[in-house]
Amino acid sequence: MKAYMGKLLRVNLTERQTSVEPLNAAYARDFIGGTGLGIRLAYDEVPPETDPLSPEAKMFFMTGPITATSLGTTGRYQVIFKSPLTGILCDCSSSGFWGAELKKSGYDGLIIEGASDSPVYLYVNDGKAEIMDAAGYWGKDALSIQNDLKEEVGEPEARVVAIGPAGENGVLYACVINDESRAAARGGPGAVMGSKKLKAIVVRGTGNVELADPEAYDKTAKDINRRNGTDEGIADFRKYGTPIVMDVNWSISDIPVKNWALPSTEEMCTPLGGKAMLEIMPKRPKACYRCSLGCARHVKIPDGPYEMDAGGPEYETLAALGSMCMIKDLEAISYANHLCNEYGMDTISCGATIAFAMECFEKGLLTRADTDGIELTWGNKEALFQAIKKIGTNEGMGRLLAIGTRNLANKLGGGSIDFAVQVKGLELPMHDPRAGFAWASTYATSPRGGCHLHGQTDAYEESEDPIPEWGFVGKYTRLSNTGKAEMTRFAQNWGHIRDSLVMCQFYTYVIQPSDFCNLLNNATGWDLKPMDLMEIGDRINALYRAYNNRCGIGRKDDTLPPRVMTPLAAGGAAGHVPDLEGQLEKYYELRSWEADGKPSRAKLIELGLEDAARNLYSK
Amino acid sequence: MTIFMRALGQLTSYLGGEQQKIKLPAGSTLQDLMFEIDSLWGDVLPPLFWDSSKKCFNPPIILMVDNTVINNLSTPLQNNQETLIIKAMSGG
Repeated sequence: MKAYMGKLLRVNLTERQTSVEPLNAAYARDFIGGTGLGIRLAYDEVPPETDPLSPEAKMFFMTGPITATSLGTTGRYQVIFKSPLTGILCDCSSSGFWGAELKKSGYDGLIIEGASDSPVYLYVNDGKAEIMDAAGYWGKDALSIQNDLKEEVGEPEARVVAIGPAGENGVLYACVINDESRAAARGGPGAVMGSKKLKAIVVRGTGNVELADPEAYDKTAKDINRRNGTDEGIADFRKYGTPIVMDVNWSISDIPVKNWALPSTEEMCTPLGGKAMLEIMPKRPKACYRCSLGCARHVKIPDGPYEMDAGGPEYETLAALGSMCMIKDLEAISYANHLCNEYGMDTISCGATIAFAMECFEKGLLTRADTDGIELTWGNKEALFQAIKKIGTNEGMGRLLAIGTRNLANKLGGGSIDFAVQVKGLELPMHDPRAGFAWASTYATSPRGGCHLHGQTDAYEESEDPIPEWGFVGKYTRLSNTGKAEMTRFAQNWGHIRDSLVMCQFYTYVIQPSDFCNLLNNATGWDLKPMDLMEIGDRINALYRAYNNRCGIGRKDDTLPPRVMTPLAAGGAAGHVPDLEGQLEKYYELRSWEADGKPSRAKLIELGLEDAARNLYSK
Repeated sequence: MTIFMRALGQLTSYLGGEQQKIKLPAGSTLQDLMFEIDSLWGDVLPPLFWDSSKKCFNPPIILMVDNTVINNLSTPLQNNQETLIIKAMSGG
């Protein structure tokens, strides 16, 4: 199998045993790698009734066929697991270098199962795997432990993915962190690792990936690297990183403010933007594996209460911890982000939960008795820091907030579920469906819950002929419902392909499906055409959905919270709300989903998912 | 009349900065503003963003007047109105 290492490493933490097994070639062909392959394996190995924090739960750390090649951003990896936050299957992704190192160590992926009775870390070095004692590292933050473990194994070039105290303490949105402060963040993979007492995975690899036609592959990769490094359309990301979204998207009311209650304004957003970050803070651009874009920020605040020298906040973080909580102090938000990274927490869910709690406090649903005496008020920076620390340690108020907005709303009642802005338990990312209507069906149907990455439709709003090779042509305006269900399906399938090859969304802004095909075909020797990828995207989406159907997900869950279906009073999207029902009706038709939200039996069989058809339609 | 033309993000580097006062004859439309933009910056705007033959911005760039997206270039402009030219960012 060209482009694959052909092996998976299975790690049983209960038995403290590791074993090597061959990669299923047919699965690779049908699901590519990364998310697709991980979903397939999870479907086979993790019964839907599995408690996500039990030893029976499993985690799949997956690379893809183009991982560790000459294409930029191919150092990424995907993690697939049943989410303790949502109770359904979840996948998340991280950048950096860890994925490339894992693959060069000889494995396409890791399967983590069981649970250790004491803290351990996994060390994989050029194929050799050892389960090591980590008792001395339990309680350590997710950042400094990376260098500690490199020193312990004597491999300064090793790469480390680790959890912080939040994962150890069962925070339901705890993430895993690698390569300084890159995170596979959403849905709580850190909590799953913590429940297994697996503190970290250290990988070191010196192997090479054998490609079917290396010369042709490198030519394609070089061309895409060049486009990514020079394309005018993404110049702002090169210069300012993702914080530039703050500088621009306030104008269309895309940025949530005050727990999605207010329209975004220039006054609130630009102090948190990319230009402010560039001017105020000493920084050095950071690039992931071979990336020609280099969007990551590095923040250095030499002294004062926010002293730090670490990874800076991304756009999602600036909005979640900043505008959502009515805080527009860039240094404070950078520090809050750094705290989240140390504890190992998803900044989207963390910020959204704190903003939700601030509104509950304002409405009297939470009192000082609940918040350990903290005035959890809008714009209160100290309260934000205290909340993060208490969540990370799962103490006092933190125990309430560590369970996410849906669980907290169910606990508090009082109508708070109406302003708990989540779908299927996953807090919405920081783009407003009232400002880009395709977000409505995207968020409502995204396989892992409220998510902007499994269907990055804002890349297509206002564009012309977005993906002609898939027949996705025309021009679609933001505040219209026309074509948005179609847009959601195309964008979701695009995301599934991207996450199965395992590459960065930003790299895919400059390519078309034929570029995906050139990469994949030159890497593997296959002969895929652009529409074959569309079918693979459909297959991955259908299997993902079918698993979640078995977890109880159906039509009733494909919805949006009332807060974001309430028109904003001012700003660039004033008075507008998407027609979610209309979009869903069309989307269900496009996906061949039945009225109850299951993929139809015929569609599952057409996609080669006979087992899923049997499981869903056995009666 | 005077139009306050604002650009956000990278478009500022092609349109002379973040805000410009543009003088146009009374009764001018958004299309007249486009003609003025062409005469002032048409030679520096990259083809990805600017259609020099049609004298208009290419998708996905949008024009907003008083917080509303305007697709019809024959829309009349008013004295002291603010127009916003943006390419909304995706992702983050």
